[in-house]
Amino acid sequence: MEKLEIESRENRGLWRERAPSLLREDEPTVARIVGTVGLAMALFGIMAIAVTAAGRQGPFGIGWGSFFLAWGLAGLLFHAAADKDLQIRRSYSLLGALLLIGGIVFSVIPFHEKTGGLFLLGFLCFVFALLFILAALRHETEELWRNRIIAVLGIAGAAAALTAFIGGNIRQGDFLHPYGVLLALTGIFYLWAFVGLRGTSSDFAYRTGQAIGLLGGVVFLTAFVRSFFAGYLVPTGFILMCLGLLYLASSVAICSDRPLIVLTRRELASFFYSPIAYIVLIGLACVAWVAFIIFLGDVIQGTVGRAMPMVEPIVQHYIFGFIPVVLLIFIVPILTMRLLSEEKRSGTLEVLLTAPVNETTVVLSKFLAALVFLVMAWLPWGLFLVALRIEDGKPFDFRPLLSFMIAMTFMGGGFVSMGLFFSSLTRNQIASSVLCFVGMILLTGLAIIKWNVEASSPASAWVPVLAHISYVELIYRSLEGQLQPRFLVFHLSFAILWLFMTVKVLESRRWS
Amino acid sequence: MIEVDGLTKYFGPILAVDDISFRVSQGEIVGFLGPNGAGKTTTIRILTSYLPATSGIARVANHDVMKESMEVRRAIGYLPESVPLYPEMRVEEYLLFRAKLKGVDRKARPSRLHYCLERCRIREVRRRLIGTLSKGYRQRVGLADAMIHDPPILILDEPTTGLDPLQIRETLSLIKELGDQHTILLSTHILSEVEAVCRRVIIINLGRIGLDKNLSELATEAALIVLEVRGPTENVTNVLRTTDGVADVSVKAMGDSLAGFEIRTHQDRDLREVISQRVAKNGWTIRRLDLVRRKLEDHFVNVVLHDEDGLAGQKLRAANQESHE
Repeated sequence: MEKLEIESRENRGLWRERAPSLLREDEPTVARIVGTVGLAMALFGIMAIAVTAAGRQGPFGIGWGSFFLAWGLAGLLFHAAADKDLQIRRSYSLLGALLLIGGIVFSVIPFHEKTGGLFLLGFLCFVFALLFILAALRHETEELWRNRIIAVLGIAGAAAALTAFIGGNIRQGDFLHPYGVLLALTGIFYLWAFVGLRGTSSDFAYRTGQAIGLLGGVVFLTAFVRSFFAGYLVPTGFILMCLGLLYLASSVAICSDRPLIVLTRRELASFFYSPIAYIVLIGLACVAWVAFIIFLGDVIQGTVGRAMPMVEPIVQHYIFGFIPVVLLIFIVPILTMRLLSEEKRSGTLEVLLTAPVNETTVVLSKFLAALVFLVMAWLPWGLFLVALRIEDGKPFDFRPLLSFMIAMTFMGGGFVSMGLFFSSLTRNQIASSVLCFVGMILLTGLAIIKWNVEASSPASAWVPVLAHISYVELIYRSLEGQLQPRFLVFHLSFAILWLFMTVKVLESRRWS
Repeated sequence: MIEVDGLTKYFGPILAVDDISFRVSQGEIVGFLGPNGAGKTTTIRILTSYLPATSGIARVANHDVMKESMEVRRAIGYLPESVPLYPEMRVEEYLLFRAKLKGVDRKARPSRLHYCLERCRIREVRRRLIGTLSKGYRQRVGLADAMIHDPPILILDEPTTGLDPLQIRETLSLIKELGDQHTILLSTHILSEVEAVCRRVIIINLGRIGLDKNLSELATEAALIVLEVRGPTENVTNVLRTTDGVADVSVKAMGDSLAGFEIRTHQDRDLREVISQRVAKNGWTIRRLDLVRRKLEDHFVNVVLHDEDGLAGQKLRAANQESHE
């Protein structure tokens, strides 16, 4: 066989390789149509709202106005994220900047002789400013512009966070709730974007990330110390401590280079690389919407039509019946099916496990990512209640929603780890999802057995046993606002068992 | 850097690697040759601590692959055969993710990334999704991943499969350049690749090492004199055997009183002239007289074809052992 001639490095420039799709750019036709329609809808919505706000009776009220505005903004965002054209991306950057300025103006101008009367509007402006800037930045290739825009994000985030915390510590109750909380959230989103876009390999962004953690720590400690004085803990101290912890956790999540955090970050991101995340989120939001409409009907009937008002906790009429159960049965297999089987099928598991990470870290990172996603997917349910609170103006007990979320974290941990185990058994996603689905059905069956046993022989010793291990019971109880640690501990140990077995399945290749 | 002693691996009843031992010292580029299914990938998976050995010891960078798996993994850069990558990630993002996972210091990360992008010539695709890349680019992304943490040892499992000839050439020249800073174990079944870049070759077949030599050693190995003579075969053989300096003669009858001879000589002496004189003196005619040095391919074929003997020998040994016990 002929000995291959080795080319010297100098000769290489003569011949260049082209990757396939470098030659043809996608034409953003659809995106442009969507963008144009979105612009028209947004303008129409703004006009409808403005006419109503000016006190005149237009053909469309605030409701239709906001409906058109929301869909218009969604269309514009889609266009901004899809179109690479120089003028278009600069226009969207400009729109983002204008929204940012608008947000600041709305936050400080007096309305009805009250400073910050339009703050909610300002907050929405902040959110959309960030979304538009991020969408436009996807395509911004010029370093100078990129750096400037990222710097603006950083400054805005730092300003919002500092205002929130300094103001929250000086003015306490009336400022913190709601302005301080919303400003602190704005701040963390902006700072997050800043650090993420710069990348933690850059020194400045890394220091910023650490500074976020430091700020969170200081806020937490201050609130903790001040909580020893009477009347501070509820609600001011509590809110500040939560925000401090949020900042601290964000800092760790962004900056840490520990394998567990690095892997969890990638897993969480990989949900959004595939359509799964969007399908689950949109599906849950739609179900929440339907449930909320039915719930609103009940509330109106309960308070107006009938003599008996609706009894607290009203939240259990919102997330009612079998809705959360059915959702869980479908969502858990979808979220967990590809976690390990995909890595097994494509062979990336070998690359992963020959890097210096052990099996436990890999399994835990996938578990955490799926669990965080599962719990976060329920947040839209809370947003609908915020709308009820703002529109109605009457306080109601929202705390069952918190206990529901906590219960969801523990139960979800059990389910996700079960799905993860099935996913570790096979390279076939469908097989693993079917196994997990069957598992979910069996777990749900426990509740049905419990009801049957209870109906036939209420005194049976099986009733408390089945009540203890049935997750459906836990959902109902948590929606009533009850949270008993012993039930949570059961689901926690359930999760640990599955996780342990998953680690063993991965390790079994090394057993001789 | 790599020490393997009596490594054996069974998959159930199937013997994949059979008692192999070899050493790779610092700075060497070693070609790990063998036909498909010879046990190359299994050996490599044991060396990267992905699979355990049934028996035997493997040490990489002075760490036992089973007991100090983490240290071993930190010391090696591994490119698996099929180059599995996450198709949904961008090249730069993927390499940074791997760098973090492999514990590359935060301050060193941008420069390592830059170095690997340049070295593997994937700078122009660093923002592209890995799933949209051609096979050649993906292979190089895998290579960049293997070297991102600047490991002392690189283990590359068939790094050139699926590349076009130009890409193969470039990849090989890159591997050769990397040989200055890394110890490299290059698994392949393509002989010319080994000849192009390696200083040493280990040929493995059916789980056993058939040859472990420096390429320079192979080049200077005793040459073979090939002779074709028309004449009485036995007489010719006798004459050749009695010639001074001849070590061994093998005969192959070619019919019509024509015979082929392969002659090995002591101390690599070139006896062509002596032989031609002696053959001519007896009145026989010479059809061919040549000095042949065995190429790597011949060694390879030799090792692979000798398997039958090897297997037979193995069975014999096993039978012997049983009868002794």
